[in-house]
Formats: sequence, C-alpha cells, structure tokens
Amino acid sequence: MSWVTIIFSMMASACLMLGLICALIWWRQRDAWAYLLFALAAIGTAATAFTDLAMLHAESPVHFSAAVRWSFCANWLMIVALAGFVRVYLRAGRTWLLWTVCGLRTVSLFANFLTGENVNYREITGINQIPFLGESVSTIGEGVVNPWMIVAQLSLWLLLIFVVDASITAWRRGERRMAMLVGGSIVFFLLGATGQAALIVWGHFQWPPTTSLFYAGIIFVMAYEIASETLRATQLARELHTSEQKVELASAAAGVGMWTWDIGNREGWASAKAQGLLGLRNSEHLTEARFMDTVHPDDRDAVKLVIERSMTTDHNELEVEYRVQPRGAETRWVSARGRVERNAAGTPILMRGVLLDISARRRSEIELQRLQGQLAHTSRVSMMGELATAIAHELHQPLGAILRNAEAAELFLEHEPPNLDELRAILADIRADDQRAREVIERLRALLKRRSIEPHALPLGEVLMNVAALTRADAAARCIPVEIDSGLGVPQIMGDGVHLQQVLLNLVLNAMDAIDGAKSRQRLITVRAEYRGGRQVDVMVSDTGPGIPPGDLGLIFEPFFTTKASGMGIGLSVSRTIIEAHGGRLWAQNNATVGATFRFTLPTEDKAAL
Amino acid sequence: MRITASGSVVVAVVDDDENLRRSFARLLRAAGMRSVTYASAEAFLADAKRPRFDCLVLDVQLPGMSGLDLQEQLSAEGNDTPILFITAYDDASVREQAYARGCAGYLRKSDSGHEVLNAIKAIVTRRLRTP
Repeated sequence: MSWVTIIFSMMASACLMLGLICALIWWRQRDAWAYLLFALAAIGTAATAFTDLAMLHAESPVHFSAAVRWSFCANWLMIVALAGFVRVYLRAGRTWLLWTVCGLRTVSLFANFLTGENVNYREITGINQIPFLGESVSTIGEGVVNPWMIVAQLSLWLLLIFVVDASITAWRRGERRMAMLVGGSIVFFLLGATGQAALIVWGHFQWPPTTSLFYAGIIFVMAYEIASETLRATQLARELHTSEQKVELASAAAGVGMWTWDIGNREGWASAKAQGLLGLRNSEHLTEARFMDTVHPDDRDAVKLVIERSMTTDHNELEVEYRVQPRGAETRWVSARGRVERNAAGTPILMRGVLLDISARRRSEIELQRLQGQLAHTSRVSMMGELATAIAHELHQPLGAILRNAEAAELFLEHEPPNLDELRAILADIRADDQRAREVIERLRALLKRRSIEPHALPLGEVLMNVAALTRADAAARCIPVEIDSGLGVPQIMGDGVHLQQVLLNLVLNAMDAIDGAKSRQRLITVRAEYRGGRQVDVMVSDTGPGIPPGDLGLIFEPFFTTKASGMGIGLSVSRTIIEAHGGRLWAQNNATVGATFRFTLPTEDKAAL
Repeated sequence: MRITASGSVVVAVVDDDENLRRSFARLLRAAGMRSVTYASAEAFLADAKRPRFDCLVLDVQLPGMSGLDLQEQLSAEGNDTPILFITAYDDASVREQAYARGCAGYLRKSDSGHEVLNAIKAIVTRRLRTP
C-alpha cells in the first residue's frame, strides 16, 4: 500500500466521520445549522481527498483531467458549505458578499462542465511524474489554461475577504478566541490551497496537487472548535444544574418552597419543599383543581380573589397568607408570594413565586394575643379590689331595700285585717330589687370575664353613665365629685363597651388617687366627651390633682410604672392597648391651671374600616 | 312642744336611693308613722314647706352635701330635730364625728328593721318628754 493512498484515505475517512457525527447532531437539533454546514464541508473535503488521490494516481492526461473536473465539484461543495458555516457560526459577515461568493462559485461550476475539460484547463495534454512520499505521482504537465479559471479564483479571494470581515466583526463583538480560530485557520489554509493551485497552474511549479490536505486542516480546526463549544455547553449545563441544586438546597434550608404557574395551560410546578408544604405527592400533577383542594375551605375565596387581582394590569405581585389543609396532616399557615410575567402584548403568561411556612409565627401571634388578654384580665382583677367598695355599695342598695320591704310586710301582716294592697306593692318591689342586684352581679361578672374586643356601634353616653354609677360610691366616700358630660351631639362610636368602661374606670380611679394623694384644696373630676369633626370623638378625664411631672408624661403608660404603693402599674398600659386596639390614641397632658387630663380618641361608627 | 295634729309621728328620710326611700317609708307606715322622703340634703333644705319633723333619718353618703355637713348646718341654724344616721358603712371616725356633733343615734343599713324602729321610737319619746 502506498503512503499516498494511506494518508489520503485516512484523511478522507476522518473527515467523513467528523461530518457524519455533525450531521447526526444536526438531525437531533434541526435548528443548529452550523452542524449541517460543517458536515457538508467535511463531506466536500473527503470527496476532494478522493479526487486528489485520483489525480495523483492518474495514468493518462484524460484520467487526470477527469479527476480535476470532479475535484472541482467537491471543491464547490466544500467552499459553499464553508462560507455558509462561517456565516452561521460567527453570526457575522456581509450577506451580499456571501451570495456573491456562492454565485461566482456556481458559475464556475457550470463553466467546469461546459467550457472545456474542466474549469482550470481547456485541455490537458500532458502529465508529469514526480516523486512524492516514496512513489511516483502525476501532476500537470502541459495544457491550455481555461480563462474561466479567473472566476473560480475570484470567488476564492472574495471568500477570503468575507471570512476576514466576518472574523473582525466577531472579534469586535468580544468573541476573540472564536474569531481567531475560525477566521485565522480558514484564511491560513485557504491561502495555502489557493496559493498552491495558482502556483501549479500559473507558476508551472511541479508539485503534487494536495488541495484536500489544506481543506482537511480547515476541517480539523473547525472540528476542534465545535468540540470545544460542545464541551463548554456541557460545562455550562453542569454549572446550571449545580446552581439550581444550590438554590434548591438553600431554599429548602430556609424552608422556602418554590412554585411556578402556567396561566395559559392552567397547570403548575412546585419544588419538593413546596410540595411538602401543600401535602402533594411527588408525582402529582398540579392542576388548578388540585391546588384549590389544598387550600382551607374558609380561605378559598380570599385566595382566588388575590390571584385574580394580581393578574389585572396594575398589579404584578401577589401576596397572600392562608391556611393549607393537606390530606392527612394538620392545618398549617403559609405565606405565598409571587410575581406575574407577561409577554410582549402584556398578557400574563406565567406566575413564579415562593411559599413559606408561617405556622410558627401565626402560633406565636395567637399566643401573644392570648397573653395580652390575660394581662388585661389580670389588670381588671386587680382593679376589682379597688372597685370592691363600689360594688358593695351597689349591692347594698337593692339588698337593703329588700330587707326593709320584708320587715314592713311582717308588720303589715300584724294589722287586722292585713293590708293586701300594701303587701302586693311590697312583693313587686322586692322582685324589682332582686333583679337590680342580679344586674349588678352580671356587670361585675362581665367585667371579670376575659373577652376579646368585640366592637359595635355604641353611644358613648351609656358608657359614661355606667362608669358614673360604678364610681359614685367611691366619689362620695372620698368626697370627690365626678362630673359627667356625655356631650349632646356626640355621634356613636365603634367600640367594645366593657373594655371602654374599664379604661374609663381606670382613668377616673387614677384621678381620685391623684387628688387624694396630693390633698388638693380643689377636688373635682370631670369626664367629658366631645366631637370636633374628623370622624373621631374625644374623651377627656380631668382632675385637680398635682399634675404629672413632664418627664413622666410618656413613661406613665409603660407597663409596671407606678407611683402608688399598692399599685401594679399595668392599668394605663392596658388602657392604652385597649384604645389603640379601637383605632384611637391615649395620652396625658397637664392642665393650664391645675391638675392633669387624660385624653383618648375613638373612631366614630361610620369610620369602620377596621 | 307641739304634737302634730293627727297625733302621729312624722319622720324625714334623706337617702339617694329611690327604692330604699320607698321601702323605708313603707316600714314607717307599717309601724304607724308618717314620713317625707328627700333624695338629697339640698332637697331637704330647699323644702320650705317642710313640717316640723320628730326625727330625721339621714344617710352619711349623699350626693353633694354629705349627711355630716347637713347635721352641722342644721345645728348652726338652731334646728334641733334629732338626727338618726343610718349608713352602709361603719366607719369609726365618722361615727365619732357624728356623735361629737350631737346625733341621736348611729345605725347601719344592715341593722334590722326592729332596731331601727325602736331607735326612732326611743328618740321621739325622749323628745316628747323633754320640755
């Protein structure tokens, strides 16, 4: 076997293999045109190798000439495919230049078949034998040059310009490595091939025609470039996968689940963590129905509303907290946050977001509310001690009246005859007083019962009157008149009567302690309700005590701040909490003349935007 | 010393609780005594047409002027109607004060009707005997 045969055959096979592989890749991914064009160029090169071999082993000018003709065909394929490849792979190069190159090349292909024996030679009259790789090979001897060869040559030069131009564009774009490799190698090898051919034909150099060797160089470099790209793509894919895994890990560690929702197809995806939160099984397909199934029945309407609202043009974000009731697991609270992605026309196409388990936070919120309720209760109970006098007096009245009535009845019964009218009147009064006593006890029980704030429309005057009744005994015992001005024209407020009563009691009793403690000459407490517009009502409790040290005006509302020997110091703090829960404010100020005023605001009934 | 025309005793009752006033008046009626009730010390003082009472039953805790203040005012005016205090609270210092100013008796609201009536009868009888 001759070396020439071996080398050229191997080269051809290698090119064919590379070409086939790339063709397969293109088959799998039809829009990767670069692979197809490369495959064609490789096949062209392989064909060129075979024709080169035929030329080198040609035994007569006729054979040689035929080989040259077919070689040009192979060339055509190679050149046109290569030009296309450069265009597609570098995504650069002037299109008109590309078409010119291909056009000229095709014209010369026609010339190849129609104007004489081949495009290079009208007629090949003689071949020479020269030594090459240890054997004797043929090369051109004598012949009549075909003027159409110019066209072919021109197309090659234009191709070179095209490649250089495309490479420069790619270089400027920043893809330097690719530009260098692709542009540089093509220019180098093409120059080699063209140069060799020109010198053989025009320069009468006695060299064996080895165009395919140069072309093979191009193919191998291109193959290397494509392989590197593929490797890089794999690397990127792996990095992306790792990065995705990291995100998954981080979100799982943070307890955050991820989800996407395809609005058009009405189906979605949830990460493993999100699936866990929603109680979905791994393989379950997430449809709209299945998702709604996981939402607690009481929260379904709210969730639907939020989702719909987020898809209107102004909103792009959604945020909702709701309960999830997964099958066979306990109810938990989740917070879902997401963003809507739209297409160019503004139609929402995708929703993407996160899911967070907030059961722990909700539980502590509920616990906090419970403790606050307990605190209010404790405060009320401690105040109960202070109100003992008032309650005792309130009960003494009906009970005292009942006793007197019963004693009177005994005496009436001794009369002859017994006065039945009086007796009937006595029994009616006894029943009424019994009812009164019951009511006092009920009021006390309501005050003691722990209750969450239940606001409803309330006439303030009622609350103030109740407080007046409760504090009458104390006021009389301590000789501090309490003046109540329930304020005509004060609109109804939104509030919880029992809680507001507690606040007023606290303020009035504090006022009494202040006056007592200071042994003031002037002794008066005023409780006044005022409406000055602005959808809120003002209530003021003023005293004629010593006032509050300016530095303490804010401090007094802190829990456990007290100046009383027997005080717990939570009355004002709880009162403030209650007023704030009503949407109002409670604060203290010193009066211009004497004493201090505690003042709070309450929203009127129509401002019910709670 | 004038005895009222019908020969029966007239008692003034001053208490701020309406039901207590009514029941007390009833008790006095059952015992054959007449009564006029007032809701406050001021109302008592303001009644220009009030008869000469044989006894004044007074609560200490009253709105406005207290029972003790009324006692002081009456004695300043020279009114010697005997005063019987009936109060819900048994405060030693208040009791001392009341006696110091010359009250005729000091009872609690929880004391039985018999005690109260007996006290009133004793007061009236003593008054009649006094020249």
